[in-house]
Amino acid sequence: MDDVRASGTRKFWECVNKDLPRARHVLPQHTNTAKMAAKHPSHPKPHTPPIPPIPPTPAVFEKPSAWNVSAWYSRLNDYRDSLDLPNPGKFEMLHGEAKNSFTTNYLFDGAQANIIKELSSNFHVQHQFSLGSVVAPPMYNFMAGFTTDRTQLQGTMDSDTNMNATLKHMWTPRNSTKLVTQITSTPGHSMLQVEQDYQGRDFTANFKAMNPSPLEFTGLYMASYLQSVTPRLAVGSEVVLQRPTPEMEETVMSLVGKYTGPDYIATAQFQGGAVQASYFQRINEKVDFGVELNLLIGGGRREAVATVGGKFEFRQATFRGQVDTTGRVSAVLEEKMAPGFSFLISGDLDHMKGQSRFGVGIMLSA
Amino acid sequence: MQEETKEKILKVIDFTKHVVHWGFIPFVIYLGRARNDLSMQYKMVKSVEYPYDVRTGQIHRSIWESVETPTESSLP
Repeated sequence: MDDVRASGTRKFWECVNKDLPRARHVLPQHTNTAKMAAKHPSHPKPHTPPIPPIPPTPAVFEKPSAWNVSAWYSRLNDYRDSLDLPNPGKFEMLHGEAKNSFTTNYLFDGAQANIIKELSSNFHVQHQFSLGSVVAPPMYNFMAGFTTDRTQLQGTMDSDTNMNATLKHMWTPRNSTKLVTQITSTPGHSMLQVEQDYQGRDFTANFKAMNPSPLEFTGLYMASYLQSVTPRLAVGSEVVLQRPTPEMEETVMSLVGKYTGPDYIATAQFQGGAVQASYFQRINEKVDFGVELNLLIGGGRREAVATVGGKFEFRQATFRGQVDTTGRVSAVLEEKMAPGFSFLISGDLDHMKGQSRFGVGIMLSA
Repeated sequence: MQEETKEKILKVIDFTKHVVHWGFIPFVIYLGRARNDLSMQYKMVKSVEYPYDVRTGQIHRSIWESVETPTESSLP
């Protein structure tokens, strides 16, 4: 009985709704009467109202109000992106290229043997023996390092049971955290350094805390910011807050400018009464030269030290030489005798003090 | 209460310092061996199951051919 009623009502409504549009999405010209009129032109055309034009959607992203901060911010960001400035590099690497030409990090004393063993692509182990040094007693050093694409762990253990540990983690390619600890058996000499580094598109921001104590907030805190203003010039500043005890507090601020030329880099750092300027020039792909000037004005005295250093890189050897205005001359030579075996010589002569230090070493990598 | 919590926190920090001092390097060695030797063993087992190179169809003469670099698994 339901079927009869349903079919009956359907036929009734079909008759009634023949001329009316069936549904909202069916346009008048698609109804039966319109189709019939199209087939038989003698039939009068049904009155189809003209389709009103679609009104233009209002622009949503530009509000007429002047207090739209997000529009300002996005406009500023678009302007910054259009400038296409390069990343200025890390703050602690400001004088990095010039310092890489110096012998400072490569000098050693006495006899030294380094054995590096790569157990796999992620894991390496290093043994270091040092003997006959004037500055340090004979010691053995063990180092283990584990690297993945985002994390880097490195631990060093001394024969005096001093431990150095480094942990670097990259949360994103722009954000990275670094933890450095130095734990000694003698109490009071331990150190912890926490560093957070953010590398933006055209700026770098860095925050460093050394020996932060969660109880009294003592320690050394450093924040630095470096920004590219033109494709060649970068300016920045660093603020250092020293808080050895909860009562004593000292703040130092320094301004920094770095100019990168086609084959040279000039940097200047001004801090109160101290100036540190460096100039690095790449003469060709094998020869680099760096000059550094350290000037200290204050407290009634003026001191300045200038250092000139050069790095010569050959296929089988690397030579670094350095001359100082304090009458100090030093040189380091690393020669790759065979694949996996290199030979090092280091010499340091201080003419003013009349001291000299020499070192001989071998480095094996297996 | 402030003094007691301070002392407890100092004790915890001292304990963590000792743990890190003696346990960090063994932890790095464990990570280095555990995260790597497994993948190397997998490669060795794979070569035993499929004794030929899948790409070229050449039969492996030894197990080590399928592994990129045969490395020592023992520390010096």
